[in-house]
Amino acid sequence: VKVAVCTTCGTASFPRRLLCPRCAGRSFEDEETTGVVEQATEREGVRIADVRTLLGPHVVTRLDPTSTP
Amino acid sequence: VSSARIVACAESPYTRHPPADVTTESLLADAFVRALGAAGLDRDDVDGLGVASFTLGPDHAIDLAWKLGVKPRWLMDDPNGGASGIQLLQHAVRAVETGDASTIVLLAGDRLDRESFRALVDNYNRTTAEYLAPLPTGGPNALFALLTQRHMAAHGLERADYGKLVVAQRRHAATNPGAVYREPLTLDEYLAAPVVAAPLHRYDCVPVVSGADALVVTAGNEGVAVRALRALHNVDDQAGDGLATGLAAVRDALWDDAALGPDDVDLLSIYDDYPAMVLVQLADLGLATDPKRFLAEEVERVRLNLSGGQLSAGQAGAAGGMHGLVEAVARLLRRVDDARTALVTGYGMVLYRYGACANAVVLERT
Repeated sequence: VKVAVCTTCGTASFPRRLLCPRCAGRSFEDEETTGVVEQATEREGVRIADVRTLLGPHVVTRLDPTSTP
Repeated sequence: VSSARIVACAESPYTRHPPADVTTESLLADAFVRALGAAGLDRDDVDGLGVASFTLGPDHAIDLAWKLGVKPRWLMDDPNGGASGIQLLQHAVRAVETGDASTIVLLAGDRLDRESFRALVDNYNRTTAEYLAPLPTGGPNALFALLTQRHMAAHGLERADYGKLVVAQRRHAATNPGAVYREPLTLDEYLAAPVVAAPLHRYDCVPVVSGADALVVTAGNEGVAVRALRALHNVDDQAGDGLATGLAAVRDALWDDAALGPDDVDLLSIYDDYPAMVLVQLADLGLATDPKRFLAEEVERVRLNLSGGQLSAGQAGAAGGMHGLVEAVARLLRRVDDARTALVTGYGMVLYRYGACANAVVLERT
């Protein structure tokens, strides 16, 4: 997943904001990162998870149905 | 002391399957007529109109004013869902105090069937449409399943603990002829209900209904006064765990303004989109700081969500943000059980992971 990293202060956010939540900077660069599933659920056969990325932001994503928790 | 008073309230009955000729604006009109009737006022007395609705669009408050034949000098739309009722009240009280209007009707309501509900939750905001609907999350249930897992872990709670709140609210719903769920619910039935998104099962999720609510705010000495009203939105940029709302930061100011403490209010109407959020808001405001103990020892005793709450009465879209106000105001005006004060909260607007809006009001019959 790609998160937005503020080019002024380095704070990562997802989704990208209009101004950096920390320093109000206006310029971001996308950075690829991975993360850890913190919670997961299943609704109508779709597995939805809250993932904490290594750069900080939480991302809500869909888990591969074949993966194990 | 404020010169503004809530002098009447009304609810257009909630229904699960509205007839084809019922529209969002017909529901709002019904609540408008009922509220004026309850207040003993005529349409021509109304010089302020505020509206909260997800499905009124492309119309706005001014379209509604035109179709109702109201000529307002104070006019407001509030799109903030579960926080909209208290938002509208916050502004209406100031408008009456300053003389911008003398008689304000506040309306909230939606007609929601399967199709319009799906359209609403998939396009709730740009972030939802872009990042959540394609997964598909299919609405907020999956997000609050994740939040409830965090809440369970943080407080050592199990499904049966939340069940005590749901069962207690259902018991109250027996006295509300307008509630969707009125029959008593046992803890076993709660636990055996079909799963929606673990750990949430059917009775942890509000039944989607159509309906509308209304309040009338005027200047005077009689009625229900706002002792305190505080709000704080987007408190953590969606970067936390969702287990605290903005209410935690405004708690002291709210109780200071009210010159009351959390244990002094007679009635509690706590926004109940999900059981975990009731417990989060209660803790934020200094009530039920130990949710496990609260559920074991107090939930049966406290006067909490006496309409059955949205979990039993149903959630009529944006009317959910006014439902608790109407429930509390109705009881204060009718002096049910001699209740004199009430705490009402609003919560909602899921931006990405959980709700961002939070507000609370302390009401007093004068």
